[in-house]
Amino acid sequence: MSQVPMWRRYLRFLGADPKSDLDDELRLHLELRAEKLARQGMAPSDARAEALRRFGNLEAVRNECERIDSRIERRRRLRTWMDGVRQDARYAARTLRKNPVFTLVAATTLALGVGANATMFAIMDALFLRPPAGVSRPAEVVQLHVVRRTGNITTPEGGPGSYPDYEALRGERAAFSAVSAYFFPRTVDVGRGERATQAVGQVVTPGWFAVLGVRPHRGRFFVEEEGRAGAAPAAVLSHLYWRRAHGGDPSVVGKTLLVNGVPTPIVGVAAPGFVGIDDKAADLWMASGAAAQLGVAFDGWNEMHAAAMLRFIARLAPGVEAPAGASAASARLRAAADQSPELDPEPGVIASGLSPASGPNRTRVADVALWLAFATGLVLIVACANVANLLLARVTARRREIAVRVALGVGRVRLVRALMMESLLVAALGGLLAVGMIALLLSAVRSLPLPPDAATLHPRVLGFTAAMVLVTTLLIGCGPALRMAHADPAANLRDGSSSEPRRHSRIRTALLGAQVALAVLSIAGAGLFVRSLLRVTAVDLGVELDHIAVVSVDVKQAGFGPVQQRSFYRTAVERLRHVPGVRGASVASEPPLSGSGSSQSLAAANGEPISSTGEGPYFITVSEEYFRTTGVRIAQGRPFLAEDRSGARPVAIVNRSLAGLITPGRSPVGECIRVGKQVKEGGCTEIVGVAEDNLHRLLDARPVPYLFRPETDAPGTAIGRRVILVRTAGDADAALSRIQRAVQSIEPDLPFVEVKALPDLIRNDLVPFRLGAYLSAAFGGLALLITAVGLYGVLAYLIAQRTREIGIRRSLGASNGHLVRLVASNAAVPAGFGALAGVLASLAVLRLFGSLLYSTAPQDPIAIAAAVVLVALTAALAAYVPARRALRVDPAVALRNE
Amino acid sequence: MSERSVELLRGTLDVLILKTLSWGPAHGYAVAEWIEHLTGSVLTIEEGSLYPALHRLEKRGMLESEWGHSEGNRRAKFYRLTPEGRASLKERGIAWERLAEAVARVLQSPERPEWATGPA
Repeated sequence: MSQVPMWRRYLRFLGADPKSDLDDELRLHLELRAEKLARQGMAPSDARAEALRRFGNLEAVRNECERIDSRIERRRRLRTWMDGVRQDARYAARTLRKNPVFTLVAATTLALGVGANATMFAIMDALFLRPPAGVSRPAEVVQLHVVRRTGNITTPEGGPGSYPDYEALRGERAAFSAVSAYFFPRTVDVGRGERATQAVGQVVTPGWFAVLGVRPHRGRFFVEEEGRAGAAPAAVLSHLYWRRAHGGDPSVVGKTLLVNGVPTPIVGVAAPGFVGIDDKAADLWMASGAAAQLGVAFDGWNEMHAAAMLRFIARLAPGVEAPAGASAASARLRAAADQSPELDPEPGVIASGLSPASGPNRTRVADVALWLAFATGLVLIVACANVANLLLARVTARRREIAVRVALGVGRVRLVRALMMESLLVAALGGLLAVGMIALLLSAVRSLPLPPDAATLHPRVLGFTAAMVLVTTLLIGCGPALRMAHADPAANLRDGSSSEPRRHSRIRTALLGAQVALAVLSIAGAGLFVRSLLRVTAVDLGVELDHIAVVSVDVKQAGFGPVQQRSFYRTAVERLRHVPGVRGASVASEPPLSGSGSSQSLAAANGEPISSTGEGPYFITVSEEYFRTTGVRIAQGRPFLAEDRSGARPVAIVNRSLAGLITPGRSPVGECIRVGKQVKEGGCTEIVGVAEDNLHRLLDARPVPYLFRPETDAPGTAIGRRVILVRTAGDADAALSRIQRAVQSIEPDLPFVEVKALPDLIRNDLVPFRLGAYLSAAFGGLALLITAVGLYGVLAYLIAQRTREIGIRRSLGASNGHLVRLVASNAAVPAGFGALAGVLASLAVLRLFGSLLYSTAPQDPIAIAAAVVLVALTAALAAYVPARRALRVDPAVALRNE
Repeated sequence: MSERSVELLRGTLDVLILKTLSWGPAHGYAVAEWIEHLTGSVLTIEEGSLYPALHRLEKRGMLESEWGHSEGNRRAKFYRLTPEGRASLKERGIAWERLAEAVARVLQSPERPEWATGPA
């Protein structure tokens, strides 16, 4: 305690802050106490000292009281603010209830904008942003992509690597706490006979689950032993697959599953919710040691530097960032690189996040989604412009009311808050409607090839919607609120007329023009996607797609040798011919439009090599029924015959593209060419026919040279994998199960018999086009609709405002044409400027999306012109109704009402 | 003084304040005087500790305050019991009486336990 008496200090701070309530309160206490003590006979100075002593630690008491008081004060202020907000909300709600049409139109408009955006966010989030479900601390996990710029395998943007690469990478223990390699998920056959099924299987190294931080729900994950080449196979089931295929059997661990014909013990079940990290949900995982046995890789795959078929993931060590991890990995890979000339001696590594579409594995669907996100952004802006316009119109109408409130002393801040509250309520109502719309839209996209949880109403989507509501509130509310707050109350009170200030009309015109421009842009975009889709689907494939089913069985799993395989396929073709609804069947090494085929060397009779400047020529082995089955026409010569099977006299059929290479300008039928071994060893294959061109894959612009060879019965020759093509009377879909049963009946113990309609096999290629066309058409239509509503709303409002003026003009003898022009000019100016801006924007922006289109120029004049015409027609329609109303104005009534 | 007994003291003081104010609004000094008057020298508390307790009770909604004038026309902050405060007083009063009764029962019991060896 200092020498200065406490009393003095107390006086000093009292003097310094006489207003302080706390000081007053405490001083009173001390004074009253001292007075009482004095009355009891104490000297005044002693009394004051005694009062202070009895009081205790004055400073501490004062501090503590201050602390408590500041909290009381804060709470009181919050309560006052909340009361004000509540009051504003009540007032805003009352105003909105009084104008139900305005409220409903505004909220619906925003709901369309917000809903479309949130739906796209849900898809984008699942594609790009959200890490796969079930991974713990996903930010620490990176995908590692191998970059090779020279050699036989070039992946300049990053790609898969080999097992030796994996062994090099896992040596990096400073940057990574764990590294794992895995194959792409693929379809595997499970079981035998009629109950055989297919599942999505993925081969992974034992540390895979540990890198991802997934825990087993039952049993265990793989052990190091199971990663050694040649180890006994082991499988882990996903929780979902365990429930679906095994009914959640608690004793599933220890049972054996027949995977691709190999007995594979189930060692564990993964934690619920985890379905892998790819956009294709995995049903089961197999340890990498048995990859060759399971038919996922070839023997010796784990020793070849060039066998780049693995992808890598790593968990970063604490404190290590992804780029540092990537450069450490690059160093490891370089040190271990194979110095053969086949491979880039200086490979690199880039790291990307774990979300499905990050890194170089982005899919076309992801690119399309990006465009759609852009399109929905346009829709939202159009919607906001629209509602802002409506609000602005209302501000003009309510100027008098506002002026009264200002004159009554309502502060401007308070006024702005009240108006923002109105915007917030409208936006929130729109947000609520939007959530319903999102649920609907998401169930519509459920059929698209998106990550498994894309179509769920994820909490992140709801959060995004809430954020959109706030942004929307600001977008629609700021302008009108500020405008209103700056209104001059005196002027507004004085002339209570309903004529609007000039500035309002300029802003309104600009907003309408922007809406029209954005509508043109989004419809032009939609037009491009639609034209692109039409072109894709109108392509002459050279194959009668809808009537073909493709049967695929991996008969090798059943232990068939070449002889048994041939006889199996013969029997299948024979039996299938008698199945009701089937017209015929054939065997082929590839289904049409598969995009794959083998290739061998080819030479003319004189030994001069025949080669294509582009892809191919591809070799397809087919049975004699192939051309009848697929509808590929024989243009010249003959199809294959049964006697061609013996192989005694080698024959071939070429397509028109290949014929053009062999004998340009004339038919090659009867010509002799050298095929495969014949190029070196001599011999001759006679061309017996020319087939019409058919496309190699759906999205090819030009046909590829093909050489068809007959299926042979020659003993001793090996046979590759075959598919059976079945031609059906009606659509292939209807006959699929009958076809499957007929094939299964040949042999009781067959692996899974996959039967698919040909369109389904190639449909995935079309998905981005369908997705782009349907959704951008929908969003374009939405933008157009909202623009139409906006134009109509503003014109209708203007006509209502100017009834009196129109009445006067009418009574002065204005003609119909004059009045229509008066109304129409309000629509024509923004529509004209907007359309012009829209065309310019289309030319500038749509270029960026050219790579998503199929043989359609991104600046396609037809799409842009069509968009302008469509928007112009819509604007005319939106102006028509208000214009008619203007014509019906009765001058007498109009003037009397005023 | 241990944490526990501070808590106890604070709670005690709260009840005394609430009870005092149940007679009507009063300023801090009057409350202090009344408590002193009734408890005499049994409960010697530092008078200053009364004020944080008053402010805390106000924050919790047990009390309301209002500025008025006291003897000699000096500004004084008068505290008044709110309905919540009254309810709390009732509740805590009962708890206190039970506690006091229970403690008294133990201290004043003429019974001796079987294992008793020392004098009462």
